[in-house]
Amino acid sequence: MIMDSDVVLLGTDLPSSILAAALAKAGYKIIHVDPNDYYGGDHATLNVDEIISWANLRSAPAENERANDYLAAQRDRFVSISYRGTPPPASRQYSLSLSPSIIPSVGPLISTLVDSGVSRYGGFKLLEKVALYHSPGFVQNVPNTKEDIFNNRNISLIDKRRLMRFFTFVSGDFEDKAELHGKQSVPFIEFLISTFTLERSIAETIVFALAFCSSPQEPALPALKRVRHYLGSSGRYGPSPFLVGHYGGLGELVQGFCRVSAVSGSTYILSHSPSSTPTGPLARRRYSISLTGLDETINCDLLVSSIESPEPTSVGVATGVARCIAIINKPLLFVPTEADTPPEGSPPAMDKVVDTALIIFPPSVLPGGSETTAAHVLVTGEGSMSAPKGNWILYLSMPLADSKVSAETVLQPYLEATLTLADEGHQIEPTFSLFYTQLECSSSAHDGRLLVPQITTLISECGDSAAVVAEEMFRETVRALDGLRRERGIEIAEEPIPFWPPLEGEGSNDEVEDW
Amino acid sequence: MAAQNSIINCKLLLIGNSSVGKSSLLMRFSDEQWLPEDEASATIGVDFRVHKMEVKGKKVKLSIWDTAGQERFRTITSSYYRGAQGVILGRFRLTYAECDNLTCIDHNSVYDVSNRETFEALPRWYSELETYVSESVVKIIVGNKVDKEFSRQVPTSEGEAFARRMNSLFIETSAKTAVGVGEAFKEVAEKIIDTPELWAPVTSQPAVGSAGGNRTRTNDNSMPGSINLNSNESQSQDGCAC
Repeated sequence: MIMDSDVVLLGTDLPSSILAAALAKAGYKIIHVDPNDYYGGDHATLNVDEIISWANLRSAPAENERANDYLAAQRDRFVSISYRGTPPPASRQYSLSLSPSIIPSVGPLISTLVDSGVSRYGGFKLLEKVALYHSPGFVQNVPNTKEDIFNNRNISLIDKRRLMRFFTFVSGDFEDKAELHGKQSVPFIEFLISTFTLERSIAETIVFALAFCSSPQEPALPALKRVRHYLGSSGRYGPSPFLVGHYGGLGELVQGFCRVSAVSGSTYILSHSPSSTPTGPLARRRYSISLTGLDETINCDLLVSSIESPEPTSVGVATGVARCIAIINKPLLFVPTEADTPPEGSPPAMDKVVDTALIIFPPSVLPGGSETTAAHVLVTGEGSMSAPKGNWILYLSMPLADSKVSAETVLQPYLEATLTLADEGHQIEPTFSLFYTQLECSSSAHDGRLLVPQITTLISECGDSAAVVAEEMFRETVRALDGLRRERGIEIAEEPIPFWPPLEGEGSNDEVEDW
Repeated sequence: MAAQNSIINCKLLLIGNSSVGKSSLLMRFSDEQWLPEDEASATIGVDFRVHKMEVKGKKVKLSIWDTAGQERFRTITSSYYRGAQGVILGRFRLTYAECDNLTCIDHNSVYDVSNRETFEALPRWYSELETYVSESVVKIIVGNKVDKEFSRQVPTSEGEAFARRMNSLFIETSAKTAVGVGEAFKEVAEKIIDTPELWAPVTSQPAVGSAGGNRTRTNDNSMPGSINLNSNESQSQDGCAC
């Protein structure tokens, strides 16, 4: 039998899922296929049992096993996989993200969530704290607000004035300002020190805790844009600029976009991959595709894919990110260093217990750690519905220049340092930990398919990057489909189709105030 | 913390095989409409409906969710099941047009009085429920399309016996003639109200830890500090106080 569609979308990662929802809402018939038995691809949220099986599948192949194309590509992408510890009971109560993220409260992803209606499906939690690791047992809290800076005894009055000058600059349209002229590619830290005469320690806080740079050598302009974006995001839902999605973040949002897509008529098929290259052209459609294990043939005009092509040419320069996911059953405390303590006595210890927070390790802060690159540790707990009460998930990540070193070797010192922040005053062991390296692979388009580009792995940017990529792909896909329709003599509306049409009121929460 | 205006929010799910009439049941209940067979197609455009009712003196806001067609290839998202208090298992009848629906490769759950196959698929939906929702969630088996009595394949007594075995409520309905539809939703709402652990505030709730059970929380937004993007302000006044 034959299933007919305008577009077959391969892969349900976040950009593809947003794209599927937008195309379906615009009236295109979509068949959305994923080789995994879960939604989300490399952005999925998995429970403990699922992530162990994820890790096993991507580790060394069993003897005589012939991996399918997708799995072969995944094994090129995810390397250096190891895990230890005992999976906790109630595996399903953990939502472990393959793509941990914090989402700026103002930006492309939040707009897309609201405009698509996906925001009605789930909740978020404000990121409570951002802190820089200081020394075993201690952190340096990063001020959330201008008031925090004014009240900080650590910063001299003159530095406060310089800081305010910087904040005024960075909050405005700095692109054409004299301060930036000719300095857009200058390392961000040098820019801050030379242009605003900021003390190095303060400049470093801005570089790592406000711009989330991996390296102080990152160019000034993109870092400044990020700082402006994040400062402009604070206050919308609370003092922090960032939100953390319930139930594991992006993977949960993926399911929301796929649901919106399905509500608009898309068909979803998981656990299946194309069994051969598409054939065509056909009388009414360009391609015909078969899926492994399905009798149906799918006809379509366009194939859009976020799955790497199986050709071995795809692995380029091996840069990537070392990652660790660890589960702990003792809370972390953010105990500030002495100089950092607020004047009016110590707040009770409970205030320091962390449910949802980001810890940043600047380069060189950790003996045995990297001297050039920052590491991030996202902590999520019960408050974001991602772990049962009394348990927390730690997501460590650090960009790797040399992917030959194992993820565990790279991140173990950071994990141990993070655990010195635990309540008990002595180091604790994670109940379960998984290490792996995610390599950046470049793929090339073949057989006429459109490729959905990979999104950034930067924790504060990956969500927004997905929304931006999805909108670009939406325009490109609509253009390609319009071109085909014109060839076939079908009239095309002159007006461009909006990325999201206005939401209908049905089922919305707005109408229920009338008890 | 007092319950907000003492309105109890309940999430109800419709589950069951393709084309057994889940959407029709929802449309009949919430919009008082029924689409004749030749106009009804596989679910398009039904996301969820909000319905308010008084149950045992309490104000209850039901959000009733449809599968959005994702049951066809058994690709219902895990997020669909989150926070549900009630489940309506459709046991309805396939229409003629749907019998050759090529997308129905895997009939797995909802059953229909005039279609034996859909009845026999019900246990598979129960295993899906075991995976995703807690045991205390209220379940009702709905045998729909009793207007097609002439072609009944599943006797009422057999449906009742099965429901008893699965610790579920049972009712027969017709979305076409509206028989039993309101009662089906009302019975679920009443049983939920009789099960306070499903809707009482999180703080007074015992820890959830049943084997394989997911969280049974009434509502994600009952977690302190939760933010709903659709409301203009944060629901939590007790945000970061640092």
